[in-house]
Formats: sequence, C-alpha cells, structure tokens
Amino acid sequence: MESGKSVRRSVGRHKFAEARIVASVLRRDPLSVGSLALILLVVFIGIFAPLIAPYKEDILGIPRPGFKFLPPSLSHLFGTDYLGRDVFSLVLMGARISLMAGLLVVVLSLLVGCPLGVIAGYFRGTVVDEAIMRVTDIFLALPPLLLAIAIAATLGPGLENAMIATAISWWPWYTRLMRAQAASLRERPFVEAARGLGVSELAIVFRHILPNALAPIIVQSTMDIGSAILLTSALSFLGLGAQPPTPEWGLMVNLGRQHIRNYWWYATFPGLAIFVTVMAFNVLGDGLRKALDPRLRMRRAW
Amino acid sequence: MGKVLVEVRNLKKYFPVRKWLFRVVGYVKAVDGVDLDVRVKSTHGLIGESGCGKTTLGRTIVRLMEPTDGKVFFDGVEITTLDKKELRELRKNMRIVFQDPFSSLDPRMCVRDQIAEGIRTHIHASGEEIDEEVIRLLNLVGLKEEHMWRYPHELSGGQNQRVAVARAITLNPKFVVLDEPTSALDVSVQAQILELLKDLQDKFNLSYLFISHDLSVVGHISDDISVMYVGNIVEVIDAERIWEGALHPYTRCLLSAVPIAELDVKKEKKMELKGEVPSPVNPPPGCRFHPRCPYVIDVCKTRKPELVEVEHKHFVACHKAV
Amino acid sequence: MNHLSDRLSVRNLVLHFGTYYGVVKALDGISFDVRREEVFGLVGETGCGKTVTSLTILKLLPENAMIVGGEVIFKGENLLDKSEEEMRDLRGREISMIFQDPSTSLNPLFTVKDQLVRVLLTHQKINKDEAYERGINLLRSVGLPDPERLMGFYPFELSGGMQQRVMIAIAVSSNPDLLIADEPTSNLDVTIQAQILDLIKRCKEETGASILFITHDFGIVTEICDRVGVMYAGIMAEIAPLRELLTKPLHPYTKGLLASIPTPGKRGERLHVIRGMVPELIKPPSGCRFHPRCPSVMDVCRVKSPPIIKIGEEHLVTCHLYEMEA
Repeated sequence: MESGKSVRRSVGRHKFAEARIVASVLRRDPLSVGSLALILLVVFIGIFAPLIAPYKEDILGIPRPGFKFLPPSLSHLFGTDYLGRDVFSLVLMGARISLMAGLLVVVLSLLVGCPLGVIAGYFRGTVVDEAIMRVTDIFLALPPLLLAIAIAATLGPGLENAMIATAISWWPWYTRLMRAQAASLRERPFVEAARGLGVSELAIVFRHILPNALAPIIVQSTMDIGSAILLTSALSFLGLGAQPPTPEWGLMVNLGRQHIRNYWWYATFPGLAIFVTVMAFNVLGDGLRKALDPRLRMRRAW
Repeated sequence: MGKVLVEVRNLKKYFPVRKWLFRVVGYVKAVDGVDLDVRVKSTHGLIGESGCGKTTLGRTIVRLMEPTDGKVFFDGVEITTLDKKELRELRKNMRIVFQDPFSSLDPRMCVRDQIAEGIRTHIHASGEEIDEEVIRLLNLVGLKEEHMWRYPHELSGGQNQRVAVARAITLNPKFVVLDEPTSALDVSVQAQILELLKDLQDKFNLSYLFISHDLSVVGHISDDISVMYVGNIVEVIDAERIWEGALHPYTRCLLSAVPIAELDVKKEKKMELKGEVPSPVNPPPGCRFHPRCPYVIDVCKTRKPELVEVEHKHFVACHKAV
Repeated sequence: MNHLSDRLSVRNLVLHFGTYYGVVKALDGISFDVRREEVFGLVGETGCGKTVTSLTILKLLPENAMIVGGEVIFKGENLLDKSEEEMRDLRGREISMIFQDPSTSLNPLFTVKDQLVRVLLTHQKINKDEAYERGINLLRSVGLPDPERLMGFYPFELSGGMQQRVMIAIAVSSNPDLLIADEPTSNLDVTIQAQILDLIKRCKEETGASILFITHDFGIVTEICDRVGVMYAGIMAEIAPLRELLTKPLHPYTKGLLASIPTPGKRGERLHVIRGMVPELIKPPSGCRFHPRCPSVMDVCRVKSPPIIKIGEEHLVTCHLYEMEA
C-alpha cells in the first residue's frame, strides 16, 4: 500500500499538467500577463490599503476644513475632495470595497445559479427543468442594470443591498450556462456508463456532471468579477449603493460629477480605477479563454 | 450447448417523433420485435450496419433504455418489470462497455475512482480494500498499479478501454454487453482487447453480447451471430458456418462486401446492393429488405417473413430461403 | 531508383511539428513512389504519419509544421519548392484529394450544383452552361441516379455514400494525374464502402489516374491496391506489391500487424499481439523506431536507424535483419 500512496503523490503532478500548460500559454501573452499583474496589484492594494494609504482615517468622513478641493500635489497625489479628504487614500481604500463586492456577488450568484442550472439541465424536459427555467427566463428578460436598480430601490440604499441586488440579477446567467453544459453532458457516454453501473441520479449530477460543467464557468466568472464591480459601482453612482462617506469608487464618481469642471480630480481618479480594474479582468478573461482552447494551444510560431 | 442466460422475446423500442412538442406524428421503430438468446460462457455477436438498431437493442436489453414492448429474462427472472431497487441489484450482473474509450470515462476522475465507482455503488468497502481490488482488476486487464492515479487523457485508447473493461467486471458480473468495443481502436490494439476479452471470459465464465458492424471481428470472436437489419433480426447462425452457409440475401450481401485481409478468399461474386437503407420511421411493407433484394418475389412485398429454424441452430427470416 | 513510369516520387521526407509539448518528429525520412496508373496503398495505424504525408504532398499543412528535408517530385518538379499560388493551380486540377468525412468536406451552405460547377469553372476554360452539362455527366458517371435533381440538393440532404460520390465527382472533374484518397470509406457502411471502392477502381481505369490510397484497413488494401507501403511511427517500414506483402512480409511490424487482423481463416486461433505501444513522437525511440516492440530486435537496432534494403525486384524493407541479404 505504501507504493500506492507514494505513487499517488508523485503522479499528482499530472493533475496539474493541464493547469501548467495553461499557465505557460498565458505567460507568453503580454496582454494576459499585464492584466494579471494589474489585478494582483489591485488585490495587493485592497489587502494592504490601510498600511499604504497616507490618510486612512479619511474614510470616516471627518471634514478637514482648509483642505477642500486641493489639486493633486505631492502630499495629496490625487487631490482632495469636498470634505478635504485625500482622494488617493480614498481610492486605495475603495479598492477593498469594490473587490469584495465583485467577489461576493460572483460567489453568491455561483452558489445559487450553478446547482439550479445543473439540476435543470440534467432533468431537461421535465417539470423541474421547466419550472427553474421559466423563473430564470423572467429574470433574464429584464436588463440587468434596470433589474438591479429596481431591487436596490426596493431594498433601500446601502452597499450590502446593492450587492444583493446585483447578485439577484446575475445568477440567472450562470443557471442558463450550467443548464446548457449539464444538458449536453447528460448525453455523454460516461454518464450513461455511470447509469449502467447503477449509480443514482443525484450522485451522477454531483459527482460527474457538476465537476465537468464547471470548466467554462471558471473563465466566465473571472471576467464577471470585473462586470460585477462595474455594476455595483453603477448602483452606487446612481445613489442606490454605497452611501457617503464610504469611499466607494462609483459613489465618488457621482459626487465628483458636478465638480468636474473645476475640480476634475475628484471624479476622474475613481473613474480611472474602475476602468482599469474592470478592463484588466476582461482582458485576463479573454486570455484565459484563448489559453484554454486546446486547438490554439497546438500552434506555435517559430 | 450451455444454458441460456439472457432471453430476449419480441423486444420493441420505439422513439416517438414529435411535432409541436406534444403531438406524436410517428415512431422511429429502432427495435421492432427482436428475439435473442445468449448462453452461459458464450459470445453472441450482433452485426448490422448503421441505423439497424443494434446499439439501441444492446441498451434496451440492459434497461439503459426502457423497452416499449416485449420481455427480457435474465437467469430466468423477467427484468423488464423490475422496480428501481431490484434493477440496481441487477446492474451488478449486467454490465456494458461502450465504443469510445475516451468518452466513456469521466475526464475528471482518475482511473482508481472510475473503477471504484463500480464497487462503491453497491457495497461498502474501506479505501484500502477498494485500492486492493482496483489493483487486482488492473492487473487482470493488463495494466499496472501506477495507472491507478492517471487520468483518461494521459492514457492511450487501448489503455482506456482496458480501464472500461476493468470497471465492467467489478463485482463479477455474469453478462457484459460490448457495444463496438474495438471500433475506435487500431488493429493491433484491437487484437489485444479481443484476446483480453476472451481470457476474461474463460476465467470468469462471462457471457458476452458483442455488437459491431465489423463482420471480421464478430466472425472471429463470436460463437453465434445474429444479423440485424432495420430493427429486425434476419438471420441467426453459428459463427463457424457464417462464411459459407449464410442464407439470408442481406447477410450474403454483407459477406460479399466485407473487405478481407486475405488473398484468394473464396468470396461470393460481389452482390450489388442497390439503394439506400430505409428509414426506420417508415420501413417498407412486407420484408424490409425487399426493395434492395436481388431475389425478391411477390410475397416479399406484402408479408413479413418470420424467423424460421432451417437447420440446427440456424434461423432465417426470408421467404425465398425457406 | 527512378522508374520512368513514376508519377509521384517522395524522397527522404522529414517533417516536424512545433507544439507546446515539444517538437513532434512526425516523419523521419520516408520515401516511396506512385507509378502511372497504379493504386498505391499507404497503410498504417493511428499516428504513423500517413495523413500528414498526403497533406505534405499538397502542401496543406498547418502553420506549426516544418518540412525539414526531402523532396516531393511530381512530373519532374519538386512540389516543396513551389509557391502557394503554383500549388493552388495544381490542386484540384492535376492532383485531387478525396477526404474521409464527406459531410465536412462539402460546404453545407452550397448546393451540389454550386460546388461542382465552381470547381469546373475554376480549372477549365468553359462557360457556365458547359460546366453544368459536364457536371451532370460527371454525376451520372459516378453512379448517382437522377443527376438533374441531385444538382439542386444540399449536402445534408444526401446520404454518406452519395456525398462521397459527389466528392469523387468533384475530385475527378478535371482528370487529375494523381488522386489522393484519404480513408474515403471509413465513415461508410460496409455495403456502401464496397460500392465506393468499385467506383474508385473504375475511375482509375477510365481516366488513367494514379491513386495514392491511404487507409488503416488491410482488408481494403487487399481489395484495391496494386502496391503497398506500410508506415509505422513516421517511418516507411516496407514497400511491396500486394501479393508479395501478404504472402511474404519481411518487416517484423508488418508480420505482427498482419497476424493480428481477425480473418475467417484464423477462427479459433489466438490473434497475435504486438507487445508495447505506439511511441510518442516527441521523443521517439533511438535507432529503429520499432525496436522497443520488435520480437527480433538486435543490438544495432537500438543504436542505428536501419537503411532501406531492396529484396528482389520490387520489395523494399527498412530493417537491419536483412542487411546481410542485400
């Protein structure tokens, strides 16, 4: 038995062989490398913001009279806002909020959407499938932003509510994706083989279908973190999400909007932060999709 | 002549053709009244071209598809009416091996887990007991302990098919349906798998239903052969006698068309088979083969011929041959 | 050895592919000839390089392919030296190809008429009406009933056998000197396969074309080929006329392969099993690529690639076992 165990450890490398190939493809794509670096930078900032930000207490919203609307300078890299707070610190602290919001929204949507989708797809054609999909269709028929606005307006302002609203408008996409995956996987011979062995339907769904269906979801959900950040920022921008004095990027863009002519820095830097972060996620997602395509992997320019 | 293990009587499997999601406008009569016997420790070959229904028949016999009509008896017990629990028990004794080794294994499960599934579904065993059993089975099919932790994409087609066979013989089944098990493999690998199947049959008294379109392979490994055409069995004959003694015109056309890797094989003059295979939704009336049959007579167009025993253990469904 | 009757001569072709896993040494110096009006069979199992050889002849290789050495002489000229434009002129006109899966080689969006007439117009100086007439005749000559009606069909409306006949009609439309058939019947039922093989034989007789027939099925080889080349893992193991190959195979691989095919005469016997597995070509075995599996392996086989040895008039074998007899 020892031989079996030691072989398992050393052969475990094979499990990650595919991941290593993907990694080596990504390594060579400058866009992917760049965007990954950027995302890691944002994450780093998010984690260490309290240590980096020069004026981290500013998030508490204590006004600093006399420092209002100062243009960017060495002591205030991004200038100051209407309360006199350092915009640079606010943006750094805001990274935490946006990243967490994006991550939570995606995770929540996955937790709700995936099992529903897999069950619907596996039991395709039955009442279960119809029921789940009709509910999903209703959600999908409404434009995500409008839906989120409606829910957020109903729940009331606040960041948590904005995240819930976004998640609610998000999960149907995963359900639909998973359902398509599960429906096609259901026809595959290895599922039939499992049935032939006597495996119960539920065991088949969670042991065979779910792990195999997750592959495209990984790419999709990576890109979605960016879009989730965008959506929650949008809600905050509209006044439905984070409320002052929270240093949320979207909120800051909104607050700075009216001052854009005279004190351009207040809206611009948070806006740039949103842009850069979301873009990085999208580019990385693109790169991941290309790297995971087995056919593209075979080509190699000499 | 061994005892009959699996008896198939008048088995039918129809697939409804639906228009507008609910209205049924016709049926694909994939299997349309089939009788078949598989004896203990023997291989019954099922041969036919694409669309004849042989794959559907194989799956319906093991109840991976529910029969529309007819009965299947396994060791004397009628299995077509078993409930879910009893069916699960049955699955220990009736297994199936599929054509494409790569897609019949879960790409995300290692070999050990795939084989273990065959065991764990039915009995409780500790991790070590399962490991031991998996190693034993791997050795039986010609693989090594180190293959336990590999994934399907790391193994060749032949190795994967061995894993599929190992999975099929967990818990010592009596009957295995082999659905084109070597069609996706190279010739030299095919030889390995065929010899493996024969060895396992000897060791464990297995009965096989060997489904294939390849007459050379079926002729080599089977004891008896049923020839299938558009949902019906048209001839049942000993494998030894098929090359010289086949009577049904379709069988003889097949025999004359099969390319043989031997020189100077006494083959029938090439029988021209005109036309296309008819659709199983609207098969021709009378004998289904009559539009293409070089020996057609009037009665063939109106009356469907029955399978009749023309000599010992040789059945033919043909008006002319009887 | 240059027969005057050679239509196609492949000499020492070496082909590599670049992949993320490493360099795949797909062809390791293969040589063979296709003579006038003969059917030359290229036989081998998966991965032996037979399809890649045909793609090299037509220069239809993917981007990551590198022709490292060798020549492909067609009508006195080395095709490997030709430009893409020159090759395009050659393809379909002097060298045609029939592929394995007709349902993917015919464009599903165009009718039979569109595809057939377009090919005729591309390679011959005729007008549309003449092309249509010739198309009808071609369809009739490949055994398709009611060609006028068929012209209007889309590929998915035809059965596999009929699709393949259309493909053959397109391929022979300009009377090519060389026809490359790559597993043209693998996806077809046995009875249809027999019809298509007959058709191909007829085409050769009527047009005088040479045929390079690629397959993994020795049964088909026996039906249709005049001479045969057996490939293994990128090398040409043996070349011989059909009868001689089947009755007196020389290369251990050929012998093992023939012994592992189930035939009526072998009923009741054990099929021969070639031990081991086909090697991967990123790190092929040293010396002779077959040596790890060869029952007659000698020390020299592990070290040195065997030369091509001529036995008798027409039999070539790449094996150290026969170095004495040369």
